[in-house]
Amino acid sequence: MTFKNQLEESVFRIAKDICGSLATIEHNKVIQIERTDKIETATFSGPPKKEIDVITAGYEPNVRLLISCKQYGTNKAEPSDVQEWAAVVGTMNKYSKGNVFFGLIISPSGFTSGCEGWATSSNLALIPPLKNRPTKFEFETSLEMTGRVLRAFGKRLAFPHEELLGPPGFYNFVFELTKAFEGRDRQKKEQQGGRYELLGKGWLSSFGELVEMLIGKNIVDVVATTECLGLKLSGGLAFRVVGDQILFGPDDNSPPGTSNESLCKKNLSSDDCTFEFVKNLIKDQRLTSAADFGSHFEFGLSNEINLGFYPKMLHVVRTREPIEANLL
Amino acid sequence: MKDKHSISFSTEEPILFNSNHERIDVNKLIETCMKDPKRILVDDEIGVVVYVGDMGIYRVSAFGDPTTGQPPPDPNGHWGQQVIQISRVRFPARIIRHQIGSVVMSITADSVFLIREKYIRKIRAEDLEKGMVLHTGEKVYW
Repeated sequence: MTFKNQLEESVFRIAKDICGSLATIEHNKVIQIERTDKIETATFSGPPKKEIDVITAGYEPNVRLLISCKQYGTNKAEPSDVQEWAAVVGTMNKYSKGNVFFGLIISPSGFTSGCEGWATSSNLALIPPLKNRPTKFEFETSLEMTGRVLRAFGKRLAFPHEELLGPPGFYNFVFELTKAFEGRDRQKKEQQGGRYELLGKGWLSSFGELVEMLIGKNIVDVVATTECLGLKLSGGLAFRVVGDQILFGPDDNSPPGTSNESLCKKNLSSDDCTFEFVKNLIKDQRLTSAADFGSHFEFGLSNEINLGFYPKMLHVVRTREPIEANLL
Repeated sequence: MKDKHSISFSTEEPILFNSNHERIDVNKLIETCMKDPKRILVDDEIGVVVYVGDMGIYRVSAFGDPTTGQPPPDPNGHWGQQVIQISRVRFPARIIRHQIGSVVMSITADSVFLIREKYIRKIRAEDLEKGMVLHTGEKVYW
């Protein structure tokens, strides 16, 4: 199988994964309307037809999503690209024998703003979405959007979907599914690649999600290995610091590295203490607060202890005033 | 509740109610839907989207009908818009506040509104300005 460009190849593989044998790719395909018994389509050269490159994502029983891939380097897709696809999809629907055709245009370099009116009025979906801001999405993000849309669309079709058939129903459906990628990409950029990660899923996460998931949980055990420091928490959850990265979520019981007692310090004066001392001090305590200082991460505990995770070191400080009278 | 025929997608945390006019908690509704895999349109790094179109869920809106532009029937009327799907986003956009008509609302900066000028056009919530008028007739106060 040959592909005209990387985008086409990637999109076809996504469609194949999701739609199986109902995903097809055709180059220079001459598409012809299905109903040829209409007087208005009679011509000397036969019924209307057009040569196109198309990826079709098919859904049972009779829905076909016609995908047009536009890989223009740094240039954006133009209204003429949308108009062309609108003509194809519109004509296919008008002279259909029972199949329902939807249209999707993917242009990772974006669309000029003039495309939106043509897409909404023709009920064509655009990836990436037009958000009235010069929002730049990575090539990979456009592919992620495509996968999300194709999966969700298949499941959505299992329910009544009349509102998707008329403009701008399908356009809006895809817009709603793709607009939130902006927040994810911004977060990734702010975290310089991804400081927070959800255990098990490998998904990018955030400090806010960590607080929502972990605060209020009790410490079941402390984990120290050659690669990470962390906590086992009630509710089957875990928290780990691995290098600059913070991983948390459902405990998979497999922290990286081999067991290794960590260097431990106590009090603001950083006095030496044993790993066992820290363990006994914080076990069964509830996490009441969290703070990320970039260089290290701290939890506040219910027994007025601040537990700091430094690279390869745990640091405990009692916060009860006066500090001097409450040294550990 | 005056009308149940208009349709909306719901991406914020709106006030939801059922056909008995009972308030529904968005998070609980999503958790309920998550138990039925058919309803989960997508659950990934970006967030969760569930289908609720057949559950008789409505959202309260103080704005006019989003499709026809028809205003709420009376100034105190609540406009019930049927909700088809609900999203919970893991990385929401920045939240901003506006007073539009009689309502002060917290919305994400990238929410889309329709305003009436020489023609109806879309505008991001963060670009709404005092004095603009939505296509449904409500004025932006701040």
